[in-house]
Amino acid sequence: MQKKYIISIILILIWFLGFYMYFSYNSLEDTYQFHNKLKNITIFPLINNLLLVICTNIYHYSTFFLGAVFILTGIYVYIKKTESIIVSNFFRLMGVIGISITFSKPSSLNLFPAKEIEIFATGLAPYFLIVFFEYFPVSSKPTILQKFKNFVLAMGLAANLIYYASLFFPSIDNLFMNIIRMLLVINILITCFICLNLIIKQWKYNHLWIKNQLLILYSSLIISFSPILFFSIIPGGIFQLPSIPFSYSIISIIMLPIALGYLLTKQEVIDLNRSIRSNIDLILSISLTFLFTNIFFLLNTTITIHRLQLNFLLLISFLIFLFIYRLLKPLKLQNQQKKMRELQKEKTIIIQQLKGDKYLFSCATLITGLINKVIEVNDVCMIWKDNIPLILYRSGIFNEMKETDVFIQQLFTLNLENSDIKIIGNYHVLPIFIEGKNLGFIVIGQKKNLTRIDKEEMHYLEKIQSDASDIFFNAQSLLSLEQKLLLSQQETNTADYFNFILLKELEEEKKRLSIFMHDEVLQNLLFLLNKVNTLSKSKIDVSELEQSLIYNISEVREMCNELYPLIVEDLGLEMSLQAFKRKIHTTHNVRIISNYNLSFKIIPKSLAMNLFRIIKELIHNAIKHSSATNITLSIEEMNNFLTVKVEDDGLGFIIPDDSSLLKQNNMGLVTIKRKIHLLNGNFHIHSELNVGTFVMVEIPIERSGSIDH
Amino acid sequence: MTINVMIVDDHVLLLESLKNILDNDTDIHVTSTISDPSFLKQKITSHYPDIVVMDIRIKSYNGLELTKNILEFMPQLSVIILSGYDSEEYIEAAYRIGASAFVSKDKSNEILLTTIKQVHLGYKIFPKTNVDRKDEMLTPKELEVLSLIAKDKSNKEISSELFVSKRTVEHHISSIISKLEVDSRVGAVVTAIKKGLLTIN
Repeated sequence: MQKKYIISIILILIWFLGFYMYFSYNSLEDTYQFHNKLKNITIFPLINNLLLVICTNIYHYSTFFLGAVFILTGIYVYIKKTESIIVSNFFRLMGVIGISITFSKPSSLNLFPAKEIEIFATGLAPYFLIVFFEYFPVSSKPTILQKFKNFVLAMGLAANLIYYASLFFPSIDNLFMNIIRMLLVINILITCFICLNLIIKQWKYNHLWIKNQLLILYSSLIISFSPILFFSIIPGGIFQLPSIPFSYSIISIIMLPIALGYLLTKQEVIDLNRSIRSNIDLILSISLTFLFTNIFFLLNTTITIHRLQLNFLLLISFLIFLFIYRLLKPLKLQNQQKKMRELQKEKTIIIQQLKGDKYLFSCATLITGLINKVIEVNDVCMIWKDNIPLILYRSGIFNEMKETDVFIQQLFTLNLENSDIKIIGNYHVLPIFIEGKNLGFIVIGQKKNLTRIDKEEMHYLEKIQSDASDIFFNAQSLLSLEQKLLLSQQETNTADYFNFILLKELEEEKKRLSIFMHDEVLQNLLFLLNKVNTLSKSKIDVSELEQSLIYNISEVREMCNELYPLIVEDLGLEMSLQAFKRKIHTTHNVRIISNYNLSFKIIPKSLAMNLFRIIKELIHNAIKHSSATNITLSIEEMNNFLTVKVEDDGLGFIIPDDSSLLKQNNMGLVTIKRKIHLLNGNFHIHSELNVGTFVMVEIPIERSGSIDH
Repeated sequence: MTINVMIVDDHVLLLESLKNILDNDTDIHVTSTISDPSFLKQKITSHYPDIVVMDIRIKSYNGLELTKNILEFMPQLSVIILSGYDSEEYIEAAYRIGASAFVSKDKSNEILLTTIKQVHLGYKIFPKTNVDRKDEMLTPKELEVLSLIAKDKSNKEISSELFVSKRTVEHHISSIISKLEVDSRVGAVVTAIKKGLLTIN
């Protein structure tokens, strides 16, 4: 069995131990006033008793429920994404918090070993919380955090040690317990403060999609902790007013693990605003109902139900209503769906028949079927004369009698002026007109019952004639569309492959040219310069020659660097970027702030070269197009992924799509995207007018051999 | 006193001319010239040079890596890096791997000669980089360039205004930047105003 399942089962067993300890000990005696009040109310005895049972159970077991939610969320996320670092940190965090919450009640009853487990888990929880926030929502490890992390761990361990030490001094047990309590509370407060500080900082420095994640985190924090704060701590702890016990208000904390678990398993960002907006009618109507019923009950003094009870009842009935409504909604949709399904079926049949290259032939068969539904005829013939004359369908006399061939031959050359049904010989001829051209005929012979075609039937035939024209027209355009599609697909494939080869070849060419210029032209120039230097000792004036040589040397060097920056191969990415940055600083009024966090990872040379070019292009873009004054460049390595971020404070722009970029002859961005695509990477760009542009590139280090040279 | 020198460079003409120049000096003896560094270690052990003059790029070899390898195996050897590039990063890299000197190829041969002699005496000779220029005064030319930067002129405009090449302008600016201990053109102007080197009309 895998490790993850074993750990999960152990966790669940520990939870069960806590639950069982409390369950077997607890006598369910009630100390909370509200429950006693409930017992005394006699109006709705059934509901009241039910409510009493529910409330007492919540009162006693809410911490176990909460602990179970934490542990199960942790396990669920962990099993779903075992390999992720952040998820394993999440799992540990959820585990210790879940255990700590679960054992709080057994521990308050002094059951062995509940206290030991609780202190151990509570001591560890702050440490795991900090470790988790090191990675969430993005990896950030300020050095101060490292110190706090160790400090918090030490505090937690100290609390444990003091507890075990206290076992030797039973006489001053109370003092020890107070110290431990203080230590743990201070520890948790420090940690919460640090983590809050950290995520608030994250908000400041990060970008829209991270902000969205943070928004979810914040709102789940608020939803989780505000009931405790507003119903329990503030009224009870500060104002000494009657308050709701923690056992109730604590339940809202389940939002926290669920929200975090959601964020970790579903990486895509949910738009909180939009989901609220789409349900606004529901939210509004529910809250208005609450408001009105409460006003009504306030005004009406004859009703004696406790208001809290009333609201509770209302809430329950709303939930039941919603549940039943959801359940029954399919009924309403069923009828619609049935019809839709039938239509869909018809459509698929027709499309299936239309597929393949015999569109016209199958159309002809379909139309014959149509004709036979209206009037039963023996002999039908359908003729198509768009390019090559074709007989699409023949039956009855047209199949058996050779004499009809002559007639058909005549029709091939016949061109009618209008679409009126003609009677030629014994046959009714229905011309098919498409876009004003007579492209075919439907010929109808004798009816099965040998009667004449009457006026009404004539009318049907006219209808069929126009339908047939439509069908043939569609079939024809379908055919040509499919051919075009096939052609363009082939073209795209070849173009894609060609682009790939071209990019590779271009890179090779640049390298060849650069090395040639560097190794041949540049060395020759340098050699000449040396010669000229020696000459200058004699009396001849060569200073002009010397200047020109120096100029040429610097030009060639520059061109070499432009073509293929050998410096990347020689000195690596970081140093090359530094040189590039220095160069930009001398040529443009711009400041580049760079952060490298490559943790000694060796980047393959070809990848380094590609990255260098990409970064160079991005920075040039920022300078050229957005007249930025500050550019931030950061390169980070994490789990074999390189993340490059380039952010500027320039004008920003509306990001055009690739094809319009190409039309503007702006190859830079398209080439970058293309390159990143070939390197199996991701490219994100976000730009806001007058705020700046943010570009993020992620590229895997290992599998980056696509454009290797 | 004769200094035994070995030259490693893939450009044969340059190699020959270097050998001639060095051999003309009575203090220096070129023991061998190498254009293919495949058997560099064996050649060094058979010739015992005091100093190796090494090109920074020799065909597919990286001169810096070669130097590192040699120095690991013969740490008492002195290596002078000869480079077609004079970018600061190359100088820094050469210094880091333990080379004794860095000479740009577009410098005159005399500089190479004196460098070889000084390295033999135990000096380390590297062109000035950012770090060790900070206390120098700005030259009049540099002040002129600075005032033009303050007027928001591009390097191209400055070069045509002062009748010097773009490369020279860049050189001036990079020396201004390093002397003022700033990291950009903008920073240079700000610092210069603070120090009273520039006044705004």
